[in-house]
Formats: sequence, C-alpha cells, structure tokens
Amino acid sequence: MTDIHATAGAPPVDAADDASRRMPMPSARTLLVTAVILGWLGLWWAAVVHLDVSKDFLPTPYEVAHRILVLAYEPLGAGTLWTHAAASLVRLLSGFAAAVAVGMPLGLLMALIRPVNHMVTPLFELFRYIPPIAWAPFAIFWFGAGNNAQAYVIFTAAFPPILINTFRGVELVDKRLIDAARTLGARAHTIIAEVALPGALPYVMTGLRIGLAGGWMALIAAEIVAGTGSRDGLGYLILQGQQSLAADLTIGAMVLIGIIGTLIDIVLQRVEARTQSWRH
Amino acid sequence: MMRAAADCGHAAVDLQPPGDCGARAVAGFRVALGSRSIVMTNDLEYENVVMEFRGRGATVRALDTFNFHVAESEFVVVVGPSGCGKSTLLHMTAGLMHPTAGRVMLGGSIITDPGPDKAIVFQNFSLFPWKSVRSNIDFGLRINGMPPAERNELIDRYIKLIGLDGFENHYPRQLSGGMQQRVAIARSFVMRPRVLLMDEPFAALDAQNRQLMQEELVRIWSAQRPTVMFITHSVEEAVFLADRIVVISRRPGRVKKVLDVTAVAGASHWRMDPFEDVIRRPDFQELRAEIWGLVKSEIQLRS
Ligand SMILES: Nc1ncnc2c1ncn2[C@@H]1O[C@H](COP(=O)(O)OP(=O)(O)OP(=O)(O)O)[C@@H](O)[C@H]1O
Ligand SMILES: [Mg+2]
Repeated sequence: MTDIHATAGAPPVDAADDASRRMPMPSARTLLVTAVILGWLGLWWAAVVHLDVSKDFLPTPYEVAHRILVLAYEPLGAGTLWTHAAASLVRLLSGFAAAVAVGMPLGLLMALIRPVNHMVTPLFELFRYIPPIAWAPFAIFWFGAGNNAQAYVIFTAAFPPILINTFRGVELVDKRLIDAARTLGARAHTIIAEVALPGALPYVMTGLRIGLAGGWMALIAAEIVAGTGSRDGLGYLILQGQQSLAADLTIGAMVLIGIIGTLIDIVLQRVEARTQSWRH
Repeated sequence: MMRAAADCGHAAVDLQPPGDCGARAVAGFRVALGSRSIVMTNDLEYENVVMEFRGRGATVRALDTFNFHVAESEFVVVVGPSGCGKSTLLHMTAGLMHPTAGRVMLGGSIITDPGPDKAIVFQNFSLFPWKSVRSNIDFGLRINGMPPAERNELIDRYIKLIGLDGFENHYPRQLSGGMQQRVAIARSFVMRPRVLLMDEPFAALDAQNRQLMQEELVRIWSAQRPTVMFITHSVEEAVFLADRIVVISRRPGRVKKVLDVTAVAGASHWRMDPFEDVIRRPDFQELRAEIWGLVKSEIQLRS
C-alpha cells in the first residue's frame, strides 16, 4: 500500500515524552535529573583522580568547566564561546529550515498524490541511506567551503525524517474524518489545512524533532570536515582542541554540543505539547 | 449525563425563529434557492443499485439491485441485520461512494459528490479530535461562508439543544460517547441539509437521552422538512419515527419489505406524541412485532 516503509520514522510517541507528562511535579523531576548528573560527574572526577589519568588523556570535569568559562570571555579563533555557538545554531537553523521547506510539502504531496509518491520514492530511498557526512565533499564542491556547504549537510540529515514522518502522518489520517469534512462542504485546501495536517501533526512533530537532532549531529561533523573556510562553530572548537592537544577544550565543546542539543529538544517538546492539547 | 439531560429537557428552543425560515445555512444552497427559484425536489431515487467491494481475491457484494424511492421530506427508517449494507447505502447517498451499477439520484440528478446539502451523522461520529465541540459544529458553517454573528447564534442554540452548554470548549476525547454523538448530530443539523442521513445516531445514548434526541429530531424535521434516511437497530425507534420502514435482507442487501407506518400512525403521526405513551398502543406493538419478525428471520437465515 505504501511505497515507503517507515523504518527511519519513529512512531509518534516517545518514551521520554510520556515520562515527562506522567511526573506531576517538575521540581521532583529536576531534582532527580540534577542528582543523576552530579553522580556521573562525581564518578568521572573520581576516576580521573584515583587512576591518576593524564590531563591530556582525560581532564577532570572542573578543568573542562573552567576552560569553557574562560572561553566565554576570551576569544579563540573567530570569537568567544557565544560566537561559536551562535555560528553553529545559525547553520543548523538554515539547513533545518530548508529541510522543513522541502520535506513537509513533498511528504504531503506524496501522501495525497500517488504519482508523486511513485516518482519521488525511488530517488528518496537512495538519498536517505547516504550518510550526511558523505555529502560534505560534494557540498563544498557545489557551495564552496562555508556556511552554505554546512547547511546543505544539515539539510541532508534533517530532510529524510521530516519527509517520511509527514508522509506517514498524512497517510494515516483517518479517512473517515476526510469524508466527514467533504460532506460538510470542505474542498481540497480546507481538507489539507484543517484535517490532513492537524491529523498528521503528531508524526510531523516527531519528524521535526528527529530531523533537528540529526541535523545538529551532522552539523558538528560538517564543521569538522567541511568547515575549512570558517574559523567558528562548535565543531571548529573540537578541531582546535585536537590540534593544540587541549583535551579540555575538545571535551568542553562536546559537552556544550550535548547541552544545546538537549535544550533544543526540550523547546520542541514544549511546542509539541502546546500544539496537541487535544490529545490528552 | 443527568445535568445534560435536564438541560436538554428545557431547551425547547425555537429552531426556526421568524425571518430565518428561507435563509438556509449553506450559502451555496441559498443561491440555488434564490431569485431564479429553481424548483428543487429533495426526493431520493435508488435505481437497481449494486455495490461491490473488491478485496484481495474475494469480492463482497454489499447491495444487490436495490430499488427504492424516498419522497421529498419523507422520513424513512432503514432496518436490517448487521452487515447487510445499510451504512454502504447511506455513504452512497452522501456521495462518498459510487455504486458499482445502478444510480442514486437526489432531486432527479445523479449524486456525484459529497456536499453540505447531504448531511450525514456517521455511525462512529467522526468528530475532528483537534477541534473543540464548538469548532466541530462551526466547521461546516464557517467553510461555507456564513457570517460569524449568524454562526455563533446558531451554534449557541444547538449547543443548548443537545445539552452541552458548558462543554463548548471541550475536545471530543473529553466527552462521553453519548455526548460525542450529540455533537455529531448538531454538526449535521446546523447545516440544514436537503437530505439528512443518520447512521444509528442514537445508539450510544442512554434511554433517557435517546428519547430526548428523538423528540428533538422530530422537532427539527418538522421545522426544516429535510428528507431523512435513518438507520437503526432499534425496531421501536423505527416504528416510532418512520413514515415508512425499509427492511433490508441479509447480505447482499435487497429490499425485503417496505412498511407504511403513516397508515397506522394516524393523521398527525404518533411521533408527535410522548414515546412512552405511544409504545403502549396495541397497533404500535403489532407493527413492532411484525418488523422484528422480519429482521429476526434474516438474522436466523444466516449461520
Ligand atoms: N470500504 C469497504 N471495503 C470493503 N468492504 C466493505 C466496505 N464497507 C463495507 N464493506 C462490506 O460491505 C458489507 C456491508 O457493510 P455495511 O457497513 O454497509 O453494513 P451495515 O448494514 O451498516 O452493518 P452494521 O449494522 O453492522 O453497521 C459488509 O460485509 C462489509 O464487510
Ligand atoms: Mg453500519
């Protein structure tokens, strides 16, 4: 029935989501998370101290935090920490925006118009198994080393999950609701705007979250591989740390990447919850 | 439920306030009724209707040479065993499906597309889960271009009518099955359609609400006079509401028998009287028994 098998598209419900809803007091949850994080940091610290690990091999959490704090006001490369984080975010958002702009309408059209589905699917199936980083050399060739090449790599990561989930979501919309809308006099544009898209929203939101997470991960790779033109971005910091044998810088940048990625997902979860108040 | 029932009881709202009579809810329909005054009849004609569903391998024939005529403003109730093609018949009348053979006509023209002139209350309600009670009822009016002030007044009236005031902003998921069913009914009624198609619309209601909704349906039908095709599994409901009852045979569905209730129900028709009084009448019971016998024989024939 469907040409696309949703292997890459996760089901629209995810466990983390449910857990956050079930926990009644956010403060309790925050406390727990904080305690767990502190526990892991303590373990890391204890391991480094007790095993007497060299600073170049694995610095302590304190050294990492210190290095990041210094970077907040002391520039490295193109600027301070903020410059680097902002540069990465801008690339992420431009690549992601392009993926949304192409993936959502295309997924919608594929679900609604069978010939479009037949035409796009073979190409898409090929496309989605190419790892984003494999696009990097080609992206540089096309766009020149710089923001556009990196944004393109992000696009290749974010586009497939957005397209697949939009497609699945629209396709799985209850046909009886479309019938109901039609008997009430709805035409195609109303059905798309008021039935197909709202019905597909849980899937679309999942696609956006997976796409953004994938894009963020691809970005760092893109900055390391395809970022030769620019001297900014979190990937650049990792590279700098490696080249100057500063493990604290490399790890610090990695931790930052993790933190920012988590924050982005939290924001999207909020948006998701807000757009789907009707579900619970 | 009790609260809703109580509200429903005193919500004897006038459905057709002065000056509102000619103005149909649906803009397109108003045009059709406009100065050119095209004479439109709202009768339904089923002509040798066959409906087959092609599945993997097997083909299911749901309806077989179904012939029937529903007069304009007639109230026809359809009964028959489960799976005999009642819903299929209604969906075809709504324009959602097309017969494999034969024709379904409204006012002399073949039904090609669904539209607000043929409102349907689905067996499974089919409310939009992401729209509130109010927006669900509003949907058809809004997309057909009725001005907001007029819409709001109409919706307020119907929400009171179905006993859901206070629940306007709830989502369908937050309502009981019976409440959802009443929203689905209101969503169709506000459209003031030429044909009102109802697929077991009161099945999810408790006895008390069912009775209240039956009364409201009769009231609305008397005021607007749409042509009604009404499916039910309740033989009592059929006998109480119908002008005529069509008994459909088990699959593939054909007309097994047509019973004229008006001949028995008196000049003013017993549906205008309280249900609990009517069901005690011997002639009512007699007709009920006859229809029950017809349906039962179809069910037993299966196996
Ligand atoms: N979309 C469909 N695809 C395939 N078969 C269908 C479809 N719709 C209905 N059928 C078949 O047609 C037959 C009649 O179905 P229908 O829903 O009209 O029965 P019904 O009389 O409304 O039954 P019930 O009283 O249980 O609601 C059934 O055998 C059903 O399996
Ligand atoms: Mg049915």
